[in-house]
Amino acid sequence: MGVLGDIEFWAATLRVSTPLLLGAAGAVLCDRSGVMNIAIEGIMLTTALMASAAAAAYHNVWLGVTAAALVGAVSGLLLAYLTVGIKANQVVIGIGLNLVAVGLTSLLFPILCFDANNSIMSSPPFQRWAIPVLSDIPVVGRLLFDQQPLFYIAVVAVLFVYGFLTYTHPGLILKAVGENAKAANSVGINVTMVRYAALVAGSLLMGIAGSYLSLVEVTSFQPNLSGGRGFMALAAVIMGKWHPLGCAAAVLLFGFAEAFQWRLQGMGLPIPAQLPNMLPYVITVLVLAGVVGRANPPGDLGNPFHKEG
Amino acid sequence: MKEGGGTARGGWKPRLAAVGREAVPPVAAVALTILLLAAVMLMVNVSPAKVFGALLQGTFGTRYGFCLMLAYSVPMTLAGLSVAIAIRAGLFTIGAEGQLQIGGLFALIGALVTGNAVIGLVLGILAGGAWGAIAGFLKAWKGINEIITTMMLNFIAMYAVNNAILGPLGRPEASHPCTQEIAAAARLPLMVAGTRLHVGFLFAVAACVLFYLMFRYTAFGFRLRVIGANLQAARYAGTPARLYQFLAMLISGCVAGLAGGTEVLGMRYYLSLNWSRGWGWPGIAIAFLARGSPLAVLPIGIFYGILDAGSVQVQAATGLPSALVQLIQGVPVVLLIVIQTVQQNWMKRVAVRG
Repeated sequence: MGVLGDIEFWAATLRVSTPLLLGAAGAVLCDRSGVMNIAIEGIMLTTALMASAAAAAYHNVWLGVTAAALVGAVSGLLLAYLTVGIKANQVVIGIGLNLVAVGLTSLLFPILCFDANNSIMSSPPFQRWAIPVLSDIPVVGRLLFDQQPLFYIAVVAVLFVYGFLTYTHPGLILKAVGENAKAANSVGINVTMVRYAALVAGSLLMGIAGSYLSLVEVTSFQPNLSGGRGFMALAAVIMGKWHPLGCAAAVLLFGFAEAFQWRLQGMGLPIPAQLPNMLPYVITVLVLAGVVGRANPPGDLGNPFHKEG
Repeated sequence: MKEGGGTARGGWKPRLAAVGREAVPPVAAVALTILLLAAVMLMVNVSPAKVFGALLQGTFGTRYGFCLMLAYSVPMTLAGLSVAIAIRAGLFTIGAEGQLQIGGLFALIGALVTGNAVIGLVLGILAGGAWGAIAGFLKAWKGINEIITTMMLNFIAMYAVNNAILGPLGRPEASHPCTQEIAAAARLPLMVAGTRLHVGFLFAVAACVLFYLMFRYTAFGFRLRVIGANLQAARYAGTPARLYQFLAMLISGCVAGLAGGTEVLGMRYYLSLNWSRGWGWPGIAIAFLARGSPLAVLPIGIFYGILDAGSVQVQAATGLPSALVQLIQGVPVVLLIVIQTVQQNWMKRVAVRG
């Protein structure tokens, strides 16, 4: 297995994983508060468009990332109003918004991303950040500390969500709301507020994930750019059993499988090329079925909260 | 999901009023969508009259276009029916997409091997059912959320079908990955000669009617509705709830398998990489707009067929991206849920006030 010793292979794994890490960190926040955010796919697609449009128009990638984060947060607010505010069905709203996002982005793409000469405007390239000293470590340094800034942000986001949920009081409150909203309410926690906050924060991270798709992976938007990667992040959350670090590990496995598949295709081996891609999902089903470990979703995941009286 | 009009007793007048109340949200949602769309068109400086004209001309203006539109509506109607059946039994599947892909694959294999459309279609139905049954088993006996399992099974189905096309079923001499075409005898016959309308449309109509009758008039359908309406009560009444949940997912999968099978044997005749256009997703919207009623799935499925088939004409006539029409796939269901929820909250408030 010469592949595994190749630093480029591992670099590809991290590249594929970055948007999924951000998306999964956001989805963990939403899920743990009890709201299933299936709209992640549409949020990532919409924010990818907005990031590209803003970055290309003002020649500034960070403006693109900011725009994507803001649009993500606003989408989260809309989603929260629909699913928490008026308590509409979370999954139907999520799927509906995903369908809307596909149409809306294709409609806005020619308006926002084409210049007067009718050619696509590209955003400036994203510069790597080499962290002094650390990036001089052989192999590992080049792999982990000479990276895209959004990779660092993704790692920080995962660690932040982990620290927040594990060690802080507000994190405990969020988990309580997701586990048993009624009990949380009975001790005076404002369930609605907590869920609003979780959805806005989670969707903001999904927005940054979307910006990675159109600013780092490529330098311009194209219709359907997200290509199911929002759902992939959701799958990783389930495989990681709703634990931030577990989800990150699952994301890396997904990234590994994808990078491996590219290698297989490159080598022209007579192995069905998409077999490695399938495995993470098969493993997830086995995990769910209790064949490998056991996954227990948050107790009140998907249940709207109705205050009595 | 409440039974449409079933609660009203005593004569046709209250019954009609109840049906009317049930019909308000979907009709309002569709009407609002059309208005919203017209507003968007005005904003991007395109005449709404021209767009809707092209849409109607393309789908109702010619015999060929009309038949094409009906053919487009078949997979979406059946996917919608598949989801509606699960909803009726209180299950929330988003697995129609994967089930119809597996159904399409096995229908193709059956048709390629035997050269017989009936065997192909039956194989497709069974394969879709088996795919649904996995999620049904995990839900009923392992207590695992069906939304999550069906999402995973969708991915597995997509990759499995692509692997089959890249691997054993692939045609080595083709420039892009695709399978052999099925023989003429293994194709579904056309309903109208010279058009693309195949008998799959009749199957879709028949399936909607049959499942309506099943839910309304059979003990089996009644029990499915009971476990959907109140699982606890069904258990106390002695209904083997686990078995019925399993069967609901199995049947839902069979109908999605039929969607994939009719599409492959009636429209495509072969499979290429990522062949599905994702009918399973609007299928969820259709099922919800129909509020889980198999009979209502049919007109709404055809409405979605009009949008789908008409979007090509709109693009040709106005230069607008066909996505404008895709936009309408999602908007009505979001509006519907909002209208419904607001209506319910309002009625609750009125009831409290007395």
